[in-house]
Amino acid sequence: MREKNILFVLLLFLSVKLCSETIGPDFLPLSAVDNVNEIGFYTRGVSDNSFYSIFGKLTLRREHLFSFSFVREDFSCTLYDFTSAKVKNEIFVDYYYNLGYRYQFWDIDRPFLAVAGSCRYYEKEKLFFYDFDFSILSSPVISIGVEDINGLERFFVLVTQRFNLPVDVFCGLKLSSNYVDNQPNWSGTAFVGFSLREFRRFSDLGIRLEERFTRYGHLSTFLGITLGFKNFVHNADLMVDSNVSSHDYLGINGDFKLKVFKLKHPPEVEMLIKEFRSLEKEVYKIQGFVLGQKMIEDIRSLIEQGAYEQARGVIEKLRLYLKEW
Amino acid sequence: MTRAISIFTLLVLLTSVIVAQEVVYQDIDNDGVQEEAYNLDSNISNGYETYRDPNLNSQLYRRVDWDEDGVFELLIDTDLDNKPDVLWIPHTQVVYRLLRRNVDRDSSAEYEVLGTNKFFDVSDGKFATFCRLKGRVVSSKGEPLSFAKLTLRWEEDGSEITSWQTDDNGEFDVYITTLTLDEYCILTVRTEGYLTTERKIWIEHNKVYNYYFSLYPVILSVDDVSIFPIPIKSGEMLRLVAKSSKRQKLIIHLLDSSGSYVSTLLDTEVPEGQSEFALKMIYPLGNYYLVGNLGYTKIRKSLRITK
Repeated sequence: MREKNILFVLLLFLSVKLCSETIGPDFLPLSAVDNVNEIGFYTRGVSDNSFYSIFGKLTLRREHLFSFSFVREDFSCTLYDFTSAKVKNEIFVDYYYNLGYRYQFWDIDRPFLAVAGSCRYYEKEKLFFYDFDFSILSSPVISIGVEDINGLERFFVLVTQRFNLPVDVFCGLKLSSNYVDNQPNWSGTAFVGFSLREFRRFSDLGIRLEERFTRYGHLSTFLGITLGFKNFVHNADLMVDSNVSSHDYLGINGDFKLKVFKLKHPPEVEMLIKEFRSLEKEVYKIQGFVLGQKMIEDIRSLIEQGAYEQARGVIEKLRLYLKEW
Repeated sequence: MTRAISIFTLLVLLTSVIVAQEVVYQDIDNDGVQEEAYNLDSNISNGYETYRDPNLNSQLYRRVDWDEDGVFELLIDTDLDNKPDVLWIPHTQVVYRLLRRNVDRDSSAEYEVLGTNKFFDVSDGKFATFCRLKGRVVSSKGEPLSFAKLTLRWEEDGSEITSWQTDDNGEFDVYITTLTLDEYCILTVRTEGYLTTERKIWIEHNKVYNYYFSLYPVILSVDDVSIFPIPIKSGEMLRLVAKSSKRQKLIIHLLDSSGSYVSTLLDTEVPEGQSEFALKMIYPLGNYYLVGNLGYTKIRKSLRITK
């Protein structure tokens, strides 16, 4: 297990070192993100393009989610005049401010629909751009939206399917299209990944592979690694997420995200996870408590699958064993 | 008595004028001997009918009505080679020299009436008008650009009117005889290693125009592209120059600053040598990458669009 951890950390540092280009802090549209309270830092860059962002999300009750981000983009560009003569190299620094809001519609104990809108303010040119999307939170999750309203509108459909196997497996397909001079341009993104939650000291361990393509063929490949560390501060977790990308034209790049977050489950699930985490600590303190460790693994697997009632039952049993031990 | 003398004098003068117009004398070939034009039918309104050179070193080529006023003029062959050399208008005693040249760039030569904007076309025996485009093409450093190709086309449908090249001194002097529409034309100048320049012009027959072109060099390695100006304002035309080692495919995509695909700007085949394109930047303000392939060579350029 220790070797595996070392491998993960090595991969993480490798991808951070290659730091890079790609998606923003969320690879899902705002309407499809989980209820979460978070604050974090995101960066990506290529040799002539750096992108830094501080972002956060706040969930109020279970329906409302507010998001914000502050973005700085450094773009290095060679300037040419109208005669094609090189003028100079210049680094442009742009600032963007994003504010977003998402509302979820709930059916007793689970959300079934979410709508979201966000506004991006481009400080230098004093311009606003808008995004809008909604998600049908079924299985699969279907998100439809439009990005860059006021700029070049880009429509997209995203379908994400999760399989609650012992390991959470997810895959999805995003198709985007815009019209320029009445000519449609489309591109696609296909991704597949897995995620292991509540595993030892990790709240989340995930790997994600993403392929982007256009009608002209392959464009780029991303390999992303997510490491979530439990109870980093005040029961909130620390997540480190990084991607290595191989772009057909822009070369090898990467992006890196660091955030402190707390998933906002329904109160009973939050309690369950809290209990599980405290039990896990106790069990692993006891040398040779193999049965306890096996039960911890079972509970983790049940939480992973969303079988909270069964997990609760196993937790109760484990408590009894601990008392007897 | 005085009145009678005046009337008589006037009659004599008038008679002498009329008699004088029956034969017009003028040395039209500069040989010191005056040539003669005769008005045989005594009708001055249809011009002079015959021609005579007393020392027989010129001959009448053809009677023509060059200005379509019903009065015939004379085309004279002054070197007896059965080709016209001068246009003589006896009733005004004006002589125009003719220059044999292929004015309308067909298979046969025409005769330009020097000092006018007309030419005589032997094939149909008629005079037609032309406009004349003269000028020079030089580099931005003032060096003459020979063999620069100039193309004149209609603005609206883009159809070509004619094309020609500059001479060794970068100069050109062409006659346009086929202006059939009242609309603007586009005069394009292109030569390898320099940016193509276009000028929207209005030209008419019977006029001479002078144009001066100064071309900017474009420095490009083989199988590479250059884009400019950068930064570019939204809505303006981005120019793209490609230099290709052979006939091959050129595809250009626009990516946003995160590397995501936005659109395809070009998907075409370029010939060997220099090709130029103008791409309208109707995209939102921001930073972009312009990437693509010229054959198997990958292209990557940074682009910034501003307000």
